[in-house]
Amino acid sequence: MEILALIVLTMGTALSLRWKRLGVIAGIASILLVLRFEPLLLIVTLIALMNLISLDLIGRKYGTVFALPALMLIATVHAFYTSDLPSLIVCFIVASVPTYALVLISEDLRTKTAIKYVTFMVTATILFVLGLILIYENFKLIGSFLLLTGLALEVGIAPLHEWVPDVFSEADPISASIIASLAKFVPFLIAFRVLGGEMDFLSLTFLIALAVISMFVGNIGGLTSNEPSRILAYSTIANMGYVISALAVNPLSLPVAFAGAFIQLLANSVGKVGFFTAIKGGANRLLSFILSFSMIGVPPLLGFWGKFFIATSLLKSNLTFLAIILVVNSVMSVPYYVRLARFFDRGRSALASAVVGVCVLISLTIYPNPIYYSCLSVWR
Amino acid sequence: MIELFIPVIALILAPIFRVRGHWITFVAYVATSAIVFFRIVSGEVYYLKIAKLPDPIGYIYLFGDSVSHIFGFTIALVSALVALYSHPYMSHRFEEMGLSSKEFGRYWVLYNSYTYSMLLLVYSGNLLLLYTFLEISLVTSFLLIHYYGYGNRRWVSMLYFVWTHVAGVLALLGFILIGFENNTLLIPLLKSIPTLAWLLVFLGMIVKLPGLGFHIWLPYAHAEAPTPVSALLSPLTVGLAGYILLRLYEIDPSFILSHRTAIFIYGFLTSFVAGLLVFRQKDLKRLLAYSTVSQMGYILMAICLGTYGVFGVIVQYVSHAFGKAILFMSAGSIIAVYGLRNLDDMGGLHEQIPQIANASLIGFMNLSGVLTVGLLGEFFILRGVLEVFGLGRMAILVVLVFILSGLYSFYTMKNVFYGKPKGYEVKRVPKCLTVPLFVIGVLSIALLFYADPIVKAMMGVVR
Repeated sequence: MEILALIVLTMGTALSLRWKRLGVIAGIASILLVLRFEPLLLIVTLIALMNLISLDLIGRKYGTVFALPALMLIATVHAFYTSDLPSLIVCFIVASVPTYALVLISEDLRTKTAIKYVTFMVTATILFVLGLILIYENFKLIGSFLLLTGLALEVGIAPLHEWVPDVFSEADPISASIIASLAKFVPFLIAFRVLGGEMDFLSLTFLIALAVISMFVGNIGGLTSNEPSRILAYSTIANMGYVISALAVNPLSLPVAFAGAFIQLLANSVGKVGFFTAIKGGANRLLSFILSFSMIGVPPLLGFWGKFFIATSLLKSNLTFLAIILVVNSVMSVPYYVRLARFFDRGRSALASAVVGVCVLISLTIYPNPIYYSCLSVWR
Repeated sequence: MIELFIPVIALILAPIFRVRGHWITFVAYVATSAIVFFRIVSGEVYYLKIAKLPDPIGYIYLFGDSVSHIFGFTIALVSALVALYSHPYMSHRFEEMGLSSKEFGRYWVLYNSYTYSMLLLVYSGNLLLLYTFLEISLVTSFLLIHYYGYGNRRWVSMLYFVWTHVAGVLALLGFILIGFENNTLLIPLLKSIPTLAWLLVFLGMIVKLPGLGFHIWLPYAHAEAPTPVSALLSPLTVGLAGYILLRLYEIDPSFILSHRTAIFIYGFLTSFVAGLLVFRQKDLKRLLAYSTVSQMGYILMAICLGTYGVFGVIVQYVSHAFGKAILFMSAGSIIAVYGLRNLDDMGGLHEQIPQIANASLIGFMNLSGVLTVGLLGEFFILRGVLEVFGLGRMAILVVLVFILSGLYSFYTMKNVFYGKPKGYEVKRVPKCLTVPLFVIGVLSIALLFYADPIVKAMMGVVR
């Protein structure tokens, strides 16, 4: 199915140079072709679809742009169902490279930032892939260090987060929303598959340090920023800290941690897509408050279930201090999310309102069972 | 069971009717409280299964026993009367803020979800569900302060949100630990509570209650909230921390029993220091907020006092809810009619607004335990202290705070309503601003003479 989707996508994109509308159609068609009836992947697909549709807000200058989210989605879905090394590497690269182009189409982007972004990403990819290969070749220690460093660079975990605030505030909000949402799944998926529950003491310490620093840097940065896109950048850093902390659990509670991490990723993606679209096209005040509450982790919204399962798995692995740090950080984030919600008043375009509406609907998942069990089944 | 779903009607219909939403809310909650009262008398226990969540959460369901019924009755009744009171008060507030009466749509959504979440909180059969409702009530009350509060309302609402959220998440960590110990979070199935979990929940609850030292947020939040919200926050919401402690105490009292004296002294200090701080307040609503802290100290003391202490917690919640609802509403009436908040500008208001003065008198009688259901609460606490500590220093401490409550009550009455009149002109007070006060007042006196069902219901819990 993925092959067919790729063919459709290539044909459509090639033709879209002439008929721009074909790019959108090919993108949507290929997204629908890789549709799987697994709640977790359904929501990921929905996020990709929203990314693709919201690209319309940038303007129709380039028809080919619409292929990029579809390409990333195909890689993401494929990564969930494959376990051999070359495929994983290819999926990782395919899910990361389209973001270069997405950043570059933004209008008021300084060249310096663009170069920074691409350099960081290429370094990240090299380190990640190298680490992956070394782990497969049984050099566990050095391999996991390289992999973690690559992961930290790729998704923006402090102290390797330099590019995140610059890119998020200068790039077009829609491009930033794709980087903050769809691009995050594959790196974490691979990290969980490879590292989960098998780390030695040194790399575990390294991982926990990354998680703690990232949470604090993200939240303190969020508290001290004023611009909405900068707040969102720091909120992404904090969220990556929550997600990576789930990697530290023992093998027994790994499935719960995996579910928690991916629900947290979903909540983060949905929130980011909603807020960035709102920056571009405005949003209703009430809807942005709901998104904020989901990001804060107010039960029974989606963001709460992510943090709940992560905290549960941490407590179960006797990492009580990490759970407390996570919880303290989720409290610290309250003021800036509320401040963020106040930036928006009402929607200016129908498309943006629709995207924000769908994000709110996903955030309102008050019954986590389908997603939770779907995460467990994907994990196996 | 049906009574738990009547408020849904108000939740849906009240925002549609906007300005007239108060009647629907009032009728729905009065019906609820009436049915709940019959449940108290009949002592019924029921379950309603909703869903099954992954371990260690277990089944999510609603569960009602006598304790839930007594708390639920108080919540439903106060919510009903405050809804009636909201209408004239919020019209005045919207006018002051330059908003149209369309704003009532949003107000009723928030008001009804706030009161409904508190009602469901006391009927939660699962600790996670309980936490969920705790947070929903927090978020909705936060938004109410954020939109309609006084003073620096953005900052105050944020202060309130952050502190109470800290309380909530500390309790959540404790709940998760309890879940691992028992492999479920179903309240009736819980057997034991590890000390660390007890400590986390207890810490969270003394932030929420609040205890001395953690009470910084409360005077700001309760004083700057729009008055109908203060009249829910102070009587109903903070006391729910006492409810949560009570539930855990029923399961496993080990933590409280082993630190009995320390907690008792802490409760006394909370009550005593906050009681003294009342005398230094110049703003009427802030004064009432400090008196709330002082009254919550009673709950901390009572929880250490064995069976009679448990009775004391329950009755204290009811009497404080009734008393404080009356007092906040009367403070609000003074704001709505005369625009006064500062104690220096008041004095002799009995001349102008005798009905509000008399209602406040009943309110303060509730707080100081004179001839109202508050008397019953003080009786149980005293009885408990005699059983546990005997007739000694501890008993004297309890009597001391009781006297202090009486003192500040009548000090406030004298400063606000009696003394030399300031000569304000007599104004008409809308019926909705006074009638709810008297309804609650009459009920709080009636409950003292008709306390049988409540005492019987509580006896049922102990057995």
